[in-house]
Amino acid sequence: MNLEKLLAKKRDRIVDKWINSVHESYPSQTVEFFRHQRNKFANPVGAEISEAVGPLFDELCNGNNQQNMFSLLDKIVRIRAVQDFPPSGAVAVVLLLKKIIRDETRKDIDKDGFFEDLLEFESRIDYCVLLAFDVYMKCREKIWAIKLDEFKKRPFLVEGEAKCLSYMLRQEQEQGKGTKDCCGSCGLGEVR
Amino acid sequence: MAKNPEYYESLNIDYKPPRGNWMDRPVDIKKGIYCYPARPVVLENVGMNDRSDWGKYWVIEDEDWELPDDWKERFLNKMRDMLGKYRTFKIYMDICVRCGACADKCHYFLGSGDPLNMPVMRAELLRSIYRGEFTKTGKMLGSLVGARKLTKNALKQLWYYMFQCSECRRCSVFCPYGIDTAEITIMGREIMNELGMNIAWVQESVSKCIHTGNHLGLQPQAYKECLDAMMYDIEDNVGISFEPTFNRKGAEILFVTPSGDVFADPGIFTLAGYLMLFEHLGLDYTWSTYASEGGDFGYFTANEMAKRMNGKIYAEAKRLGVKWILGGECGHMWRVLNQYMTTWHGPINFLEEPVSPITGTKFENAKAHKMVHIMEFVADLIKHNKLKLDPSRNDHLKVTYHDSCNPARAMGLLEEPRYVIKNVCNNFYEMPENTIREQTYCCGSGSGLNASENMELRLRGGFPRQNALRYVADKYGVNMMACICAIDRAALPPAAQYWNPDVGVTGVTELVANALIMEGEGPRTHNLRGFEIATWEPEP
Repeated sequence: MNLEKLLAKKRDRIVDKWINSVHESYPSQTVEFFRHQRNKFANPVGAEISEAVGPLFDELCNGNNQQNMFSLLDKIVRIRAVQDFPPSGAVAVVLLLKKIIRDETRKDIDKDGFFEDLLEFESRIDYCVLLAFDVYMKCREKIWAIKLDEFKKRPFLVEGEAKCLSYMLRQEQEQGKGTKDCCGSCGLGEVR
Repeated sequence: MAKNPEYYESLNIDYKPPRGNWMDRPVDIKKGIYCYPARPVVLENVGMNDRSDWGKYWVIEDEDWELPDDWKERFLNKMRDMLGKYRTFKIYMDICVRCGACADKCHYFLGSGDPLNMPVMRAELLRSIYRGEFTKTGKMLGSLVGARKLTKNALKQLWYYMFQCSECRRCSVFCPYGIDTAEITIMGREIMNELGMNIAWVQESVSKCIHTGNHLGLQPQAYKECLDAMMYDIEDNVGISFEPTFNRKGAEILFVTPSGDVFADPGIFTLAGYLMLFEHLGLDYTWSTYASEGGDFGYFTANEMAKRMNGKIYAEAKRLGVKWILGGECGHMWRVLNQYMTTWHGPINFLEEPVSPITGTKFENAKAHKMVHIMEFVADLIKHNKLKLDPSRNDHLKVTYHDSCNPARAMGLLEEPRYVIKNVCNNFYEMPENTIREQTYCCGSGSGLNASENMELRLRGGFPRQNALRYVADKYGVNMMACICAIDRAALPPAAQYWNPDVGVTGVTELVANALIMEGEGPRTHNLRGFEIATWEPEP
């Protein structure tokens, strides 16, 4: 039996395991909730994970179509890009599959040509991680674009002195009356 | 190599979060989630604790928050005061049985997956301190009964999560004891005011409102200029020009709406809608440049501040000698009016029970606070055939309706907006049942959390709503979400940009005005946004 057939046979089991390991990147109380609440509007994150993981696995096994993979990854990574994960944690969902596949195929690895198949499949996973990184960056850039857009529309503009809040905080601190907190992260300092 | 076990074990990618008791875990405060602290000057402006008596800086990401030496006493004294003053607070601290009915109802929990965002847990952050510091069993048995002492870490945790609650009260709908979890947030925030720990987005607005009459800090002349600018747009797109009045004594009605509609896109088109509608009706009404804010950001920081800001509307109504007040599309303004206002200011005897001058309908529901919601007013007009409408002008829109939290849950305004929308639009689609009406999901940015620096919090908190929106967008091609709250109109567009880029946001009155056939109007080729009606597409 080659890898392709084995993966097809074990498809449901692998997908379940994959969904579980994505769930387990969340705190344990949340995992319980993700597993048991079936209504997709009452459990949107859990539902998105379940809906995306199966088709993503199928795409890895059969289609390997970049566009399809991108939109499936978008479902999961877009959420993780605004959650508490570091960037690596946001895209690591794909790499979790590697371990599952290795565990599931451990017994068959000595068969002829199997190892080469596995290496090839893992390369697809690697490629998928790169795509996940693209999705992540696209989402993060969107967040910054939205932030910038809001800064430009801020009511401070009405007052004639258009400044970002961290700039105002810094200015007050220089005058010795405010707080020394300047986030420095908005990258704006001053919007004029 | 194939048999090398290291090959298998080399892949230990582990993002499992740490286990253990949440009480002992150091709080991990993240950028993108918290809001900037309030500037001392805006606190001082309104007589709130500005941290100057211990003269220390407060840097949120620093380990040491540089609290005053007696921070613990200050906190506990304030908490003791409030427990004595507000029976609800005492009851909410005592009666929760931790059944978990609210646990999975919060949009911030659903969007973040962080268990401390479960409403029960967020309340437990404060409740554990209550048990540990104020009850005998808690003092004796400690963590066995969910009690803990007030520590710096507990304080940080409390601050971080109290500003991750939008006071939308969805959780309260499900609580069998009727615990109003939003009030716990309100109390928690007020206690922390003792240590000057409040956020800029709320306090800047409060300070501006106290001094100029509205959250944006628009001076009377700027306020009038904003309306004048809309008058030019109305003239261009509708072909009618008229002059609204300001601060006019002796008008029958005072109109009050959130200042967000005066300035921010897309609320300004809702504002244009008000102007057109009232002109069409020939209403004897006036705008006020002093009571130029319907919203009450004081409500997001302290009870007294909320009372002070709410009182301004009534003081202005008295000064102008109006008979009653008409209120625009706002969210928490209606909760404040329906649930707090009469406690603060008693019965308002100098105003009359509102009666529509057009239909003669008595708004008995507004007997206590004398303020009528624009949707009630418009629904009544439509019911009595007082408006000529051409809903086909909105045919390029497939509309869904987002029940804004406070009008829905704190006021029960569920049918009127739907009735209005169905009369001014031909294509209306509901989002799934468990995401609308009393169970509506918050936009993700209520209670003063619509700052920009906490965008990640807002986007993940907005996800449950956007997920339901995406469903109707995919299924029916919905391209416009209507709402009746100014914070919604500010918060839903960025959330939609992230989750549903093809859907726009509108106030209901904007839809009404576009469909309204006004006497003497020119050819209506363009809608209020200046787009050709036939080819109009929502902004990306």
